[in-house]
Amino acid sequence: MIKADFYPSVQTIADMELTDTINNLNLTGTEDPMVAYYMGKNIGSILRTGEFVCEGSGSSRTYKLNPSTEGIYWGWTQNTSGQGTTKTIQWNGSKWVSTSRFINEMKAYKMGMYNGVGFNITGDIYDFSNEEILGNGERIRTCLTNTHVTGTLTTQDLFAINKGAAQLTFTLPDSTTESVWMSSWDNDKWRFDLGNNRYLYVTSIQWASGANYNATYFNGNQMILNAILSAPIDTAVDPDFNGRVFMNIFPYNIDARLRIDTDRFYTGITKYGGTSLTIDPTEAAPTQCRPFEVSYIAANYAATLHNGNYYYVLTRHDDLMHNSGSDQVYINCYIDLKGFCEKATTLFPKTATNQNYDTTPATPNPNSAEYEPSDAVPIFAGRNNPVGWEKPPRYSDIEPVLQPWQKYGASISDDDFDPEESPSSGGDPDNPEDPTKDDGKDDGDPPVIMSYSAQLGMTKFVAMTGITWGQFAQQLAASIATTTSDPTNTNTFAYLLGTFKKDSNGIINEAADDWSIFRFIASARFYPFDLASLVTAFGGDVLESNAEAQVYFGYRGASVAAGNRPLKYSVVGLRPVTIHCPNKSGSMDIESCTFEDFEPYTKYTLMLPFIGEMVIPAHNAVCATIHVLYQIDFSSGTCSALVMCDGGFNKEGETIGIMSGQCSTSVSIDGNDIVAQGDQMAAAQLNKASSELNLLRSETNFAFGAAGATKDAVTAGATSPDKVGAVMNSLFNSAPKVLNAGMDIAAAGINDKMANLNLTKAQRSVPFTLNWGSNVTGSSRMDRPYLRVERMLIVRPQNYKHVFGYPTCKAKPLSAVQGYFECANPDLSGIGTSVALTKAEQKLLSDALRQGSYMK
Amino acid sequence: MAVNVDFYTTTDDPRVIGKTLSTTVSGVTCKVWEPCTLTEPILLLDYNPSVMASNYCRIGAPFNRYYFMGAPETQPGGKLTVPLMVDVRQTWADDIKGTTALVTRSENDNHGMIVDDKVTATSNYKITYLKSNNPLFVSGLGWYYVLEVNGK
Repeated sequence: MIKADFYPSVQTIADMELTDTINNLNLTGTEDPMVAYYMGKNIGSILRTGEFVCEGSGSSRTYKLNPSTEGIYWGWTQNTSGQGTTKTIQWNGSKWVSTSRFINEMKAYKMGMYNGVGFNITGDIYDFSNEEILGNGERIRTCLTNTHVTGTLTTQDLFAINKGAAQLTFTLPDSTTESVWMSSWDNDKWRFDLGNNRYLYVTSIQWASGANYNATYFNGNQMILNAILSAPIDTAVDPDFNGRVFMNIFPYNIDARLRIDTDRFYTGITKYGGTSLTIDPTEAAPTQCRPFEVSYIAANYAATLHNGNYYYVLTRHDDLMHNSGSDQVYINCYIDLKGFCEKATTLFPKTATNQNYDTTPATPNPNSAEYEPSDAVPIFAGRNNPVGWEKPPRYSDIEPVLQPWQKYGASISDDDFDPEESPSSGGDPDNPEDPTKDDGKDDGDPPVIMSYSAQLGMTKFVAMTGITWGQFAQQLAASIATTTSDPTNTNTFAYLLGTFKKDSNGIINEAADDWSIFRFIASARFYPFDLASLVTAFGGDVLESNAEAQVYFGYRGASVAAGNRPLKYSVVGLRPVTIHCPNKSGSMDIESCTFEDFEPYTKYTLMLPFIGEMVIPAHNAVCATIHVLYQIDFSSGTCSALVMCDGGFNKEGETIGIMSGQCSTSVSIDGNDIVAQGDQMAAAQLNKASSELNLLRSETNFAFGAAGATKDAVTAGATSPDKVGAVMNSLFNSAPKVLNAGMDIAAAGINDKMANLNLTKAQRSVPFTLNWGSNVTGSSRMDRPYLRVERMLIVRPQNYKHVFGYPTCKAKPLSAVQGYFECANPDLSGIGTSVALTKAEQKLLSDALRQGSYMK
Repeated sequence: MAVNVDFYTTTDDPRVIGKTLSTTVSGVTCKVWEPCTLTEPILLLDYNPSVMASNYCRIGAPFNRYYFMGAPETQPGGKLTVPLMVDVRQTWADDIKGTTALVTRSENDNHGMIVDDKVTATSNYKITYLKSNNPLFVSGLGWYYVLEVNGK
């Protein structure tokens, strides 16, 4: 009688009875074939294959090993076909072992003994004891044909099943098969590694009998492992694993349509057969999807999802999800919390058998023209439960779990801090969750900034360019219509600038009001930048596209040269200027900010043209987008800059401040103004023209229309239009105006002085404040706002972290610390359990931990 | 009082918890200079060149502590005295590792938003100018006058 270890692994049964060496094996017995027994049980028969040397005959038959072979070859017999194969038993030095594949062996040898869940082959039943503990602790269990074993499998169960198996083939519930080469134990359940981070988690074992005996896949009489495919757990991509739920997405119905509006799903399965979903599990960043429509789902296949994006299906398990009475197959989809879209909707046609769902009938039909996405019911969460399908909670229940990450207004993440040590402000009325606790967010709302709007006032603005003021005046003078009844010399600017009694028809009328051009000029200002290239906040131009034909001073029109276009608005807001302010590391992500991005290590100053400097608080500037909105008031020539910060640590559109300045200068338009201008100008800031003005003013003996000064002489000076002398001459020499009979300035003298005046120079010398921001002259003027970031240079030697460590604030076991560290007020409780510390040693240890130590 | 002392050499910083110790001589019977304290005992022993070459030791029961060695002094009669200072870090290294504490500075953990008061700030500044791509005020065509006129 031979007893052998039939197990294919090199491990052997402790109580193997064969102890002879290979060369001395004697096979004896009276039966042919010989019957093999194991543990007292008939486990098959052995046929001579020729390798044995049989000596003797009959009852004295002795089988001896052929010395040339390495082992004993023995075969088996079948009841009918006689088909057989050989099996090698080898001596491993202490035991006889078999090295063939277990499954083949089982098939070949009709052995019903099986370590683990016993099963039947070919229909024969070996009724072994229900449980037998072997010498090495392995357990033998048997079961009858078609026994379905359920429940959690223990390590011993599947260890034995897989013991030594190079490959185990089993059938998935959807009739596909998988062959696995290894298995492993995952905490409390068996799983088979399919590669690519896919695993089959075994939920039950089933023995299924079938008619067809598939030599390759072992369909039919075989052990079936019911298992669930699980998704890879890529915590690096989605750290919120614990909060995940399985979402049922859509029913199986060839006519069913489903409209889903969601962002992203996750999966780990590459494919299923047929018209299956092809998913790339290696995609590092799942693509966000837009609303898409799911087509019909064929039987046993995953749906083909359109829209060109990749979607991820977590599990595909018909047995758990399939409701056979309703022809519905549900595919669990995994929705990443981070990407969950609040608009996720789905439709579940409610059927009579689908009682486990709380669904709403899909009305109207999503394919119908009346369908609106808002008609869809919210998506429901479900749980993959091998026992039974549990009613999923409604979407609204899980909404708090799916709270999207906050960006705006978020304070620094306090994950690194011990929650017990979070600072408490003692209360926050603006905290909707709990007014007794500060939610760390800004309180209140920023002031509302009234939006500026273009206004068309009662006055007209004429923007002129390319000519001097004198030239403009010349144009005006040349265009004012006069009548022959005007006793003055017509068509002169002097006439225009004079004050005279004239009615609306230009007829001198002593009863009419005095009319003077100056009465109707509200302001004249010089702007040192191109008004035509300004873009308003609304995207339009500042100037009208067409030139003004005439400018009306009161009721009298004066032509202006072509190209002088009026302004559209008296007050206009310009297109906003955007400046991005990254942190020190060059990122716009607040998560990468450090204390070096804040005061006093970094200072953020916004330099505003015509205005000056605005210091922006660091917490507003860093990682933010700074918007600067300029507004120009053409009446006063002032400009204002509204500064807002967006992103970073700001609330959306947080206003930082408003500053104002002058972006223009007043231009003299009459004698009084000129006199006044001379008073204002500091002598040192004047050019020659200004000096002439002052000189002129100091002259007390000038007069309009002074005796002896003829208009002709004056007029002659006006023939040079670029010389304001003509203007000044006319201005001061208009006949109706006599300043002082005592003033006696020879016209020629005046002309000499006036001729030297050049308003083009004057305009550049007109000072404003000494603030560079308001320097209208242009030479030191910026053309756009700038953000000046001043970063203090900080020195850290290469070994800084080892010498000083980095600042942190974490409560952690010191066993998790490596390298240099310091503690705050260490609690020495528990230290000294084996050797008690003296008081002095306690202080030494406390100081050591506080002042710094190196954990090796 | 006689104690059993193991002598070592170590090149680790005194602040290291879990020092690497190289045994120079072990099981040396020493006397403790009395009176003595647990924190700063003085050993009295026969002259031993290995002890002279050591810089660290551990006294067994009843002390059960690790000590830094001070400068040994030879004494008449072939004796040696060695002043010691207790190394609390090494003696209770295991207990320390089992403790949870609030770590305020760490070599391998950096909370960038906590102000690091140990960095060296200089008076130098690096200035960066940030601006938008397009100018707001263009000065290409010269200047503009704007005349505000009251008229019809």
